[in-house]
Amino acid sequence: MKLLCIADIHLGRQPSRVPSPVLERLGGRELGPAGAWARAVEFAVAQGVDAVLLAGDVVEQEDDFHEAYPDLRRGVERLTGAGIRVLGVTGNHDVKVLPRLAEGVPAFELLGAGGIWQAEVLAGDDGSRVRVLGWSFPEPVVRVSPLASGLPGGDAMPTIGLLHCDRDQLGSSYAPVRSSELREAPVDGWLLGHIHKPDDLSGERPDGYLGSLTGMDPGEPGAHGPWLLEVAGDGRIAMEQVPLAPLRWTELDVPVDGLEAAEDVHRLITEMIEACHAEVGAASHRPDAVGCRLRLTGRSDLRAAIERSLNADDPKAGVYERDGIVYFVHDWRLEVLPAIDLEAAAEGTDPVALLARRVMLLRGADTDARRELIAAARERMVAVPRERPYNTLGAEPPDDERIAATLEAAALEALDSLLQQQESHP
Amino acid sequence: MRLRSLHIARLPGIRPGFTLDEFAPGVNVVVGPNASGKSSLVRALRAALYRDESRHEGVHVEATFDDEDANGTLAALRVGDDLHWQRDGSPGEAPALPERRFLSCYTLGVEDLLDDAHETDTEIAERLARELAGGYDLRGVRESAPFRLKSTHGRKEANELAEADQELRRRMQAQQQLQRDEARLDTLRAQKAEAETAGREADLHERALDLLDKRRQHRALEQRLQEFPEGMERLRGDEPDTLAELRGRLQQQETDRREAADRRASAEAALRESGLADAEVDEGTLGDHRPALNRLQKIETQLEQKGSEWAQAQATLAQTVQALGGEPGQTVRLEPATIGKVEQALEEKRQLDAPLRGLAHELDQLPTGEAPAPDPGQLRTARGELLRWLAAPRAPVWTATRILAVLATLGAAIAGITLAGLEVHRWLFGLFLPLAFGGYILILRPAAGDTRRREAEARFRESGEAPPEEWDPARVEERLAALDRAVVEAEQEDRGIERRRVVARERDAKREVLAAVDERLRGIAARVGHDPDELNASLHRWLKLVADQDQARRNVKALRAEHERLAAEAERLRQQLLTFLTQHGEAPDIEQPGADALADRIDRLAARLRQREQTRQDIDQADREMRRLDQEIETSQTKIRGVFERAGLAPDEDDALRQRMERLEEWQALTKELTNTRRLEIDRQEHLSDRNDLLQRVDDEDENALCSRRDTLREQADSLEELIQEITRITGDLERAGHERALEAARAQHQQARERLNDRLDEALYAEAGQFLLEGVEAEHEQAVQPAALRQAREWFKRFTHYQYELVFAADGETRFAARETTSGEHRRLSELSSGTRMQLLLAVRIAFALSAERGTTRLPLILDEALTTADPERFRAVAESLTVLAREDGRQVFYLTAQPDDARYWAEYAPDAHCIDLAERRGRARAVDAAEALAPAERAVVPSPDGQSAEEYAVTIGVPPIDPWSEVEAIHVFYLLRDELALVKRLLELGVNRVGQLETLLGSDAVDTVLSGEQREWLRARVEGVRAWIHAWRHGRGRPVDRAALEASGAVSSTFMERVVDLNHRLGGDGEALIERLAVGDVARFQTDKREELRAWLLNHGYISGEEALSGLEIELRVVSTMRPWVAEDGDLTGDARMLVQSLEGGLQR
Repeated sequence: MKLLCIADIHLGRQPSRVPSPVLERLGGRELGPAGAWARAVEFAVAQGVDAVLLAGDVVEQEDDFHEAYPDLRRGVERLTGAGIRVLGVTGNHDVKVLPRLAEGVPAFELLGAGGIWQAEVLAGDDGSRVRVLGWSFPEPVVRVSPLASGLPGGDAMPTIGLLHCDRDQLGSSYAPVRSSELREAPVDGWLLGHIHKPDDLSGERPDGYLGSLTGMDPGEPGAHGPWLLEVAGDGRIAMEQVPLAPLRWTELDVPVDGLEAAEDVHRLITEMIEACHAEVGAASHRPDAVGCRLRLTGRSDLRAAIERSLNADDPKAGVYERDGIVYFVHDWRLEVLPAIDLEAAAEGTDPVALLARRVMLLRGADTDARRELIAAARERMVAVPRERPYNTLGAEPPDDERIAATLEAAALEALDSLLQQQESHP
Repeated sequence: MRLRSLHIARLPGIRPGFTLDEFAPGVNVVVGPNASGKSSLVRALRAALYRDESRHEGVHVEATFDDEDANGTLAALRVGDDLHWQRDGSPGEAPALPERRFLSCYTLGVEDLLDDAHETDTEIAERLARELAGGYDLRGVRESAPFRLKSTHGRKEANELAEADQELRRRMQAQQQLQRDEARLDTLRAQKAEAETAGREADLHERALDLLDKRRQHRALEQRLQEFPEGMERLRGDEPDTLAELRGRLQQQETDRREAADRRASAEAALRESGLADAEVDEGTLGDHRPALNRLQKIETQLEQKGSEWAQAQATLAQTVQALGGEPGQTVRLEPATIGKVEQALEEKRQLDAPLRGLAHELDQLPTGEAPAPDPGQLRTARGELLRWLAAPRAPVWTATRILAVLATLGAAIAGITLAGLEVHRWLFGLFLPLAFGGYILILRPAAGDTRRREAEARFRESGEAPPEEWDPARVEERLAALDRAVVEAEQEDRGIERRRVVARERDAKREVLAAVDERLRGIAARVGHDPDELNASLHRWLKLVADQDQARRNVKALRAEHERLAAEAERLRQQLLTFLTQHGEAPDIEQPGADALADRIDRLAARLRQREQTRQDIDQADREMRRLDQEIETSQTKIRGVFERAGLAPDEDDALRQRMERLEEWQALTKELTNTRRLEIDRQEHLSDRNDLLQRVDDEDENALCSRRDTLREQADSLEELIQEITRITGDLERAGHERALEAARAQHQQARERLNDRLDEALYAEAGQFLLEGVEAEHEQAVQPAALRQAREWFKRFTHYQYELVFAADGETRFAARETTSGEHRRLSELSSGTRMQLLLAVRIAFALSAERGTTRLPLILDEALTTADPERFRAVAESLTVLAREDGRQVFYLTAQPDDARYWAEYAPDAHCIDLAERRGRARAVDAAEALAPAERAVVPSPDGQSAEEYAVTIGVPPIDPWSEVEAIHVFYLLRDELALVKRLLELGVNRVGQLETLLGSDAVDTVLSGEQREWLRARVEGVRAWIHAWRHGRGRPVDRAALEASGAVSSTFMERVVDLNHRLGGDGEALIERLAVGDVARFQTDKREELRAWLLNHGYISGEEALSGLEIELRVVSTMRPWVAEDGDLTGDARMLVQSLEGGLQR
């Protein structure tokens, strides 16, 4: 028996950070959840799976009945029309849409409606059977663990739990559950929705997040797509991710050590993209587009020149096509160290030495001095998101890790600027 | 180096000089009214110290100093531009003085201190900047990207996010509206079906009512038609018009019939009058004679032409005869022999004519006469005599010179010969004779030429020619030339006469030959009968004349014959035409009528024939018209009879017909209405064929019931259109939503806008991190290498301003020095400071720099020339105290020059050791200070003591303001920190420190050690940090108070609602959350939901509403404790201290 497991489609959203030329060429919808959903549906039909399981958050907005819902309904009807059962549980984003789908498309099976666990048995052509336990969000906010209400009792046949929840986040408003609860539950595997980063479910007892069907922003890097679950005749369960997402996000390190001319950094970038393509292009399922974040690392005395070159000929402005896959750079970060002996530089008393000491402090161990520096910076930096005009974001104040990273980057750039002054006024 | 005495012997503006001495080693206050010489003291001292001061002014100044370093005295004598120094009474080197350019740091005038762009300050700033820079432009890095962001950074993105947010909200609201609409669709469709049914039913009731109405109309119409006479249905309505038309037409036809008969009678009379009524002639016959007439006309023309030609030929013949010299009618006879003779004779004449003309011409050119005059021979004779006269020899002219020369020569010759003869040889006398003869010949011999000339003269006279005017050679030669010309002319005339004679003979001979030829020609002319002169003219012309005559004769003959033939032909044709015309009475009444007269008659006959034909046609036409009119008259009469018959009336019953016609229209209208009514009645009845209930009501004539039901149904049906529109709109919106995906697009836009603003936030965090690092580095570096002068200046300035301000020094930039207000933290440039504060700042900077710059040199006195004039008493005191300390601790001599006696009093109070010098008195002028009271200490504001008062009472006494938790921490009064230490509060207030900001400055200053103990400093610092932590914690989860400005800035409250919303907000104390809640429950009527949401979003975004929970008292306390912990000793009661502080602060909150 084969099941295609999908979570967090978030129909109604479009991927962010995709440059206009790429959107114009490939289409925002095609690169986003709508395109990923269509691919998954066709894959399921082509593979002749027995059922498709939806682990919640199929739409972005719970009452998006007129834009996302038609997409969802079309796909479900296509699946049911092909004789594939479709079962799903609601997440915090689709407490209204899925019940309506169940009304509109009787073949769709909503599990655990109203927050009451429900079991459904699936039977394969080969006689294999599997039981699916499901629980649906009765409303967008659920502050208690769904597992607290008790699951139906065990059964001899393999049982899969289908749940949208926030694992190990006890204060969460989205069905917080503990890992221990999940482990102790009488199921042979948990297919979870809510967290977009997929867990590794390829083990003997699949237990974790399916991840979003497609990465919707650079914060969701790596392969995304549905998982193909197979139940063998002996009841063993095996899962494999099918990287069907039309858009993939990735991070590329570009070491610039030994660079002789700043302009050569563009060649390095191209080489890194080529290397990335060698991996992506060889996969069984290839994305239409790959968004790259570049980290320029290493040590170079051309740091400022590299930055100027990147600003003058911004890689973000370019689109690279390799074998039909469009690669674009949505961000680059210069994390290159100045080519000086920081320790030696830090021994002086001039501003360069004072800055070098701070860089070393930030890059070093978690000492009191480092904590003090970060604490002092925190006083000022946490205020920034609250200030106008950024306060409209309602952003969380930066945590210490981010503060340290930002300080280090700023210290490096300031240090580099001072060294440049030294070069121009020896 | 302290000034001991100063003697001004001569200084511009000072007269007489004066001496000041006994200066105090510390503070000296020199009081003197304006123009008493205070500023001159400064000038004199500068001149005594520096040679370059007051140059070329002829100054004479002496100054005596105590040199504390060398423990001796120094004297400076400045006379003119020379400056001499003496050390302990002996000439010595000048002391090492500070650079003159920093002299203004020692002599501080009020003008200098008010000038914020003074060059000294600039130079000081530059020197400090150089020392502080450490070789790096830290500020440059700090002030450039990416660490310095524009003030507008992120605003655009925030605005875009706000717009995207609004758009997304709109789309979501639209989405929700769409859902509501969709939910209504079934109901709307059901309502639509009901409305449609009601509409149909209402129509049926309408028809039933209509049927009832038609039936009633039917009956009424039938009743009215019965009132009309019978036969109305036969009338067509046009009978009167038809009759009138037919009768008019008949009358016209009868008139036309009569006129046609009259026209026929007239035509018959005209036919008879033509005389050709029975004649057989016609146009054809007439046409047969037209060619004869034309021929006659042509012949007559030819006759006239030929006659003319004939006469012309006869005249030509007569002219030719006359040209040949014959008589008219004479005939010329010519034979070839005769012509040959004539030709020969004429040829001979021609040959003679040319020579004769040449000879005649030559004769005309030759002279006439027989002999020339004068005679050439005579002339030649006279000429020869003149030549001979001229050829005769002429005696030389005896001039005096010549005579002397000849005589001398002769004398010499004679003397020589004589001497030679006497002495040498006697024979030499023999030479004397030829010599004497020669002399005779030369000198004395008579002139032989004269004779020949006289002879020549005589012969000339004989020739008869006129002699020369004078007989001298010149006149003779002139005459000779004239004779030469006369001889040549006479010889030429002689030759012409001879030639004339020869030519005359030759001419005569040829004339004779010519005469013979003429004679011969005359003979021939006589013989042929012509004028012999004509023959004599030209043979060709003569021959032409003869040919012309012959031709003319032949022409005359031919023309006469042609003329006669034409005349006969014309006569024949004339007779033929006369015969025809005579037959029809048109013969001309003249004899031999010409062709024109005959043509005229023929035309007249043709006209008569045309008239006869026209008359005949008129008769035929009149006959036809009379027959047609007879038929038409009959037809009209029949139709008139038919009109009456159709109306059912006898002919001519015109009155009856008129009466019926008058009612016909009414009858027709009623009839038509009846027909229509019948048709409609049937139609309505057919429509209701399956509704017996309605038909029954119609039959029952139950109109009321039908109307009532119809109205009810109609009202129900009226909503149909609206329902259809609503359903169409909803279905359209649903369809569009699926296609347009506006919500998804708005969501994507919103996400993008968030990301862009997030990027800006990242940049801002990065910039803040950079600023934090660089400021820290800068401060640390500055602290490490801060110049002593700057440190000292900061300390001075803080003291001067009672810690209200801190000196801020910018290592670069246009304004180097600035002040930071400790209570607000705001930086103020020099130009933004009050003049008093600015002077204090510059005073502090200059004094500090003077102290620093003079290292290694002699220390000079400080001289302040009314530098504190604009300071208030407290600041005056602060500066005075500082200078007093400087004087005491540094051993610095200080001079304060003032025109204000009050200043002297202030100094007496703040620096009791100050030495007051009355300059006016010293100079023997009026006193500036007239009484000891003038130097009495000024009243100082006394800080009340807290003794006997509770903390709260003491707060009231000293006027502690409540805490505004939304203003700066630095503005909080120190009382709230020291509620348990009122004595310290008093002490701080006496120092002028009453706000947290000032306290922080004090704690950071060097002077703090003199004011506070180490322990006090520590817990005061802890409390200051605690206050900061408290205010941040208190604000957490609370929105700042909403005010009118916020409401206006939100853009969500229109002017219509503004006053009411402001009022409500005021009642709620600016609580944004409460305001939104009250708006939601309708405290402001008609304030729309979307506007309320917009206002809420704005207040949330701008901090007027917090999305978070406010911290509890315990949480706040914990935060304060946490913050204070690093500052408090381990053994202290931190928790109790923090709790007390929190309670004190919360107690002071503005209520």
